[in-house]
Amino acid sequence: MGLLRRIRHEAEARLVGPAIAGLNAARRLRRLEAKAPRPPLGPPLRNGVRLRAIVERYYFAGRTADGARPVAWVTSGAPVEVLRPLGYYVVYPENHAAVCGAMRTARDLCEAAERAGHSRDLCSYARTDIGALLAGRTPVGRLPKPDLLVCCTNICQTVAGWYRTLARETGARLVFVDTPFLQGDLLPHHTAYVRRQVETLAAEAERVAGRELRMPDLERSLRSAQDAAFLWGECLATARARPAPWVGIEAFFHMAPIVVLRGLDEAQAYYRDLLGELRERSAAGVAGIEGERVRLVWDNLPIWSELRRLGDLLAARRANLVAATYTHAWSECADLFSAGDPFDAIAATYTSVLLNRDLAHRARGLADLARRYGAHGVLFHSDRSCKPYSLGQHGLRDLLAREHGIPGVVVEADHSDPRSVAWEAAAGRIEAFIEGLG
Amino acid sequence: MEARSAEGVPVGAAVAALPVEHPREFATALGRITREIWGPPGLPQQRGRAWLPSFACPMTRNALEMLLRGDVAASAALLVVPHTCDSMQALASQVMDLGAGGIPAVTFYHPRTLDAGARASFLRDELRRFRTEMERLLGPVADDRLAKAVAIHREADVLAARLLREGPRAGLPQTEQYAVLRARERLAVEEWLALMRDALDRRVEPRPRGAPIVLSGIVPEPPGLLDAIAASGMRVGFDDTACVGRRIPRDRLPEPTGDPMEDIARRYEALPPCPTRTVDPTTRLDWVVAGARAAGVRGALFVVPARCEPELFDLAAVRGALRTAGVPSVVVETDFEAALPASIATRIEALGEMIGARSP
Repeated sequence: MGLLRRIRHEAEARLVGPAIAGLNAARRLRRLEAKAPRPPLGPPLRNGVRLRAIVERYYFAGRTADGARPVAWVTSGAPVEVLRPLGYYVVYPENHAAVCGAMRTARDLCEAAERAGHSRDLCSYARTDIGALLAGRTPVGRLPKPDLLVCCTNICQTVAGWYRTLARETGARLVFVDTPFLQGDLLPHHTAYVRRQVETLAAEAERVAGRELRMPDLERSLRSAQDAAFLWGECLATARARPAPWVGIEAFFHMAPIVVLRGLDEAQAYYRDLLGELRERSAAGVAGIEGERVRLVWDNLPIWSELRRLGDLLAARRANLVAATYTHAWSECADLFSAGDPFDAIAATYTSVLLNRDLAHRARGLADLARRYGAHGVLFHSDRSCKPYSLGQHGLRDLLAREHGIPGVVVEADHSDPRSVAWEAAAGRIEAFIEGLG
Repeated sequence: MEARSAEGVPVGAAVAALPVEHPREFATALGRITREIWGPPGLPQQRGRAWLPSFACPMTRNALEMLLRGDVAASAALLVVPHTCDSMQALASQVMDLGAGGIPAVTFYHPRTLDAGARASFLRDELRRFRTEMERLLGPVADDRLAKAVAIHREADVLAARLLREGPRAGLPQTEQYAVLRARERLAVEEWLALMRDALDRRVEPRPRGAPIVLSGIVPEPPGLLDAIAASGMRVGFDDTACVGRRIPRDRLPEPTGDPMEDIARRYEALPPCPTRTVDPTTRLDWVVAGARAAGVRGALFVVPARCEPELFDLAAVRGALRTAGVPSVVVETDFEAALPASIATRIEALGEMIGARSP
């Protein structure tokens, strides 16, 4: 890694980026304070401004990272704790695609991938990122080139095809952490298999970084990830209050640090502050939705391009998403991190994530969420771009209604590609469902 | 007297299996026929609509329909679901957790890591788990019977590879050649071997008709696809379909070790690359290009089931590699229709014209 590039990167990441993000945050905070209330929405979270600053700083630091420090592109469920102590700048293509979806640039990037021969039937996150790579365009300025690609299959097999494509396009070294799908329990040979691959990942990451992974540093990184996951879980748990102190849709945005900064102290610090604010609001009786009447659980990724319209639709009916399987998935495995040996802990934790578990596990989780959060029903987003999450939802809906008395409705859309979202049809189903709940 | 279904199959006798690959030797050792469910094409959708979203692939959709109609439980004692893709796994979970199809199921996970040591070790552990699960549901698998099953499947692999390698034979048009190869999906292996020996007894065509092409995809369907290829002056010179070419070890099979479990593992490791099992970015490209060159193909036809992610992700790269090797290609998408749609036939004709398949 070049010294000059390192100096430039450090200056941009530690001085310029934070300064720009700070100025933007101050401006946004002023605007927020001057903003007229939008009932029935409660006052916006102050930490929303801070969140944007964190995300800005994160992407700003990435612009100059390649050549200055090792860069890894990883799946959202990859054991990033191994990379943190080695000084990697970590890019999350899924988070980048979500940002593109929320900023409504995903369509253009998907089309760029399609022009290069990638089918429109592929995951829209994958198409967005492949399109951004091929077209050299991104709304975040610039993504650093990867030295290492880390693909963990615990969220889907889609990532296997996606990262093969990234490997072909970038020429970067590809490491797989293949996590056997848990149809039933985690078995010893599953853990042994994943552990061995994590050790291989560590060795490869050391080689690329030119540094040795020290056990105390790995343990510290794991503790940091665990603490952040607990704190995130506590933030989510504040929505058990009636009314919930925040609008549930906001949780889809506030999960960004547990994804992209997991294993770094910045994530813990952020969630500690967010938790403080949420508890303050709860104690003061501040509601995310004033006059909250309907409490819902969301299953699957959000429809990034339509979150504003979904929020308006729900607020107009005094309905709030008090919990989501997707946001909760990032806190659920926190206790597994403490399982003795760091490599065993990583193997057990990353193999046991929600999307790597069978429908029986998901049904128990959904029923438990609905019960703990006092939800009246479940909105199932049947996501064209996420087959492992979506295939089986119809059965889950029927099972929840039959065995737990929790009604649900399935709404077909897409997490990122607006061309695959028929909003009026989706809105009609959600409206009718809420109306039917009484 | 054992009850029999309308097809004459003893009720509960078979082991049903979903695509693509799983170790068939255990069912054979248990004296059971393996009936694989590849679609089937043209299945009217009734009950499945209440279980799956519109964007499920036709393979998953049709298999679930068969399960929900009770067709599978009527003739099989058990369903094997290899972890072929997210959709097949979701289908397994619907059977095992939500009771779809009313049949017990066993999964088989394909190790996909690039870490060769971890992959080899997990494969052997997973085979042991698979055997234990099969035994729990169907009774003990005797070692000597397993050894016999391994030997007979080895013979089947050798003959299948030969038929593929040697190409068309006298009086055995390609449609029938494929019918023979694919009969292994539903016949007892001994019965299938007799069929295969009969096919191999025919003389190899010294100058087969038709321009050779690569056929790639999951299954050579809808029905009529191979006829359309032949009618356009082409023939399959190199098969890269999941149901045929990617399931037959074509290089020399590893020598038997005397340990049937180890032989099953080694046979699995000798299989050609398939996007449902292989994650290396270049292995499959190299395999297809090498196969295309060896067969002297003039074009390639990709028959991709709609919404099939494992096939679709590699499509651009495989086509690109073939293009670089001077092999033009055409893609057709199938929703497992009952008969060949005119749009697919037209594209096949266009490929034939493009490569001059009918030129003297």
